[in-house]
Amino acid sequence: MSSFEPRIVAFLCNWCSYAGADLAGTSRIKYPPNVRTIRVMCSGRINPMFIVNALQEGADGVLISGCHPGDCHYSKGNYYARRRYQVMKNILEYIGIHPDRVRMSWVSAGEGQKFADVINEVIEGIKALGPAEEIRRR
Amino acid sequence: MRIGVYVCECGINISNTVDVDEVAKYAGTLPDVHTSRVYKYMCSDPGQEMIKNDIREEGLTRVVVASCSPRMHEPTFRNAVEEAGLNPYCFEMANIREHCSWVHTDRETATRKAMRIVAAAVLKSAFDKPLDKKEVPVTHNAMVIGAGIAGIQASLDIADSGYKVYLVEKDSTIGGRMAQLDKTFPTLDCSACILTPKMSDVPRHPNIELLTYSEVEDISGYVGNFRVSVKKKARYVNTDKCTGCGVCSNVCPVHNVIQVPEPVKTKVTPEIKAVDAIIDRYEAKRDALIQILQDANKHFNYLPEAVLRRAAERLGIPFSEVYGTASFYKSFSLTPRGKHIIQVCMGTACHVRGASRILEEFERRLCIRPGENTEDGLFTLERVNCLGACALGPIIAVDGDYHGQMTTGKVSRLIDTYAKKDG
Repeated sequence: MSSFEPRIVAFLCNWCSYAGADLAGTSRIKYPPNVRTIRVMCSGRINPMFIVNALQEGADGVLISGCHPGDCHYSKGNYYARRRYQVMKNILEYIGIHPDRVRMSWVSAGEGQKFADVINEVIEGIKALGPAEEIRRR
Repeated sequence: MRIGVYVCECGINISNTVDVDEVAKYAGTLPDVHTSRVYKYMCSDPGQEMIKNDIREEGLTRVVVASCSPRMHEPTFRNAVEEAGLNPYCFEMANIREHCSWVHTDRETATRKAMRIVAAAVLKSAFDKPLDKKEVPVTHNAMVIGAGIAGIQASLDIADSGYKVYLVEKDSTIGGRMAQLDKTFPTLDCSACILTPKMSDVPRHPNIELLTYSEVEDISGYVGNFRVSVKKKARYVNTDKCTGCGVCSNVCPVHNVIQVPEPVKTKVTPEIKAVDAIIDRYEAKRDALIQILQDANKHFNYLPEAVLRRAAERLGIPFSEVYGTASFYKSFSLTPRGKHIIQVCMGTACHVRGASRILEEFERRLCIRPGENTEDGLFTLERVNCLGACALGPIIAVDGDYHGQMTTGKVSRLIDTYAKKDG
């Protein structure tokens, strides 16, 4: 179990969280290489099916990260994302996926350290849950 | 589909942690990849030239550059591919610097991650479609909500830069809180002298449209193209025809409407109830302020701000005076204190007899410094200048009870005795 290295897909919004991840890079903050980033223009762009697909195609956990409430580049995209996320959690449970596999966070362009912290937390959380085999396509 | 992949070394920024040759070799095996190269600095002129040549000579239809963040050089490479005749949106960037080489240390796992990032970008590029740029008109207007001093200044600044400003204020007059103040902190400048010239600048400014007695109901749209609906409340006056002669006020059925700042209502909390009881005991006499504060200090173990404010309100004394009194006397405390107050005398006689050692022992046992409270709220440690019992020194007082000829050994016993009393 200790050798389990989770695969995590992170959907980051272009304006805040992706830039936050960039800042973690420019600040040379280290975090484990378990995360694959997908850049979306806004966290409101994230269709819940993206998350289900990611879990079906081999991810063990998914992170959604957008601008802080009130800071959305498109004024309310992150609120839509948050609502979807809340509904999504119930649906995940219903289809047999542990809802903690999907996490949402707010990371601004100035929070490089917070991004690294979030990544570490997500990895720890998923490690505790183990591989996501519930709905994986084989 | 002919895809070209270019892996950048970024000097040593990428190549130190990522095996770029391995990444390029792997990229060459991906579907539809026609060319896969490594270069020291892709963003340099020769690097860009390399891409342009390949587009022209090899007929590439998609380009993937694996280098830094797209927030850094995406526009650079989009320009480059456009100059070579490829649609700029047929370009993809794989971020293997900020998201990989700079945040990882292990070369093997970092290289593997870089490969996956490049593979994702290559597969995505196959889905890219040529796009056209479109220009969207932007409304060069601004709206400022709230015409207090901040809103007024913002509006004037924007308007002076040549943009139209809509300034919305929910009250019938602008100026906000500052109009109700006499002086401004900390320079004690005359508030009105600063505010009123600006207030009169606002309606005079050709670029400002002032919407007083109006409220914002809804905001939609996005940066550059917001849509706001503003509700103008009924004024019962035709502002176009009004000359401000004031004759209407003579026949107005509503008289003497004077605007005063809203009184701050004190919420009745248990704290307020207790202090009210104390004040009642002294029949709310102004002369009894010190007795009231003494009783309150005893009741709460300190004087909470709400209590001081209530006393000022009930006794009709300015708050500043109540605060002045409360902060003047050493026996009043404005911060919460422990149940038992340990005072260690640091007078000359006690000092000579080793009071500092006693104090140190208390600090060590209670894990606090003088002036602090223990975490459980049981003890407060204080140093006092003289308890007036030098013959018994070193002396300490706990809750007013004196303990003379203290030794470090007695300290822990004393603490235990008082802790047990509560426990």
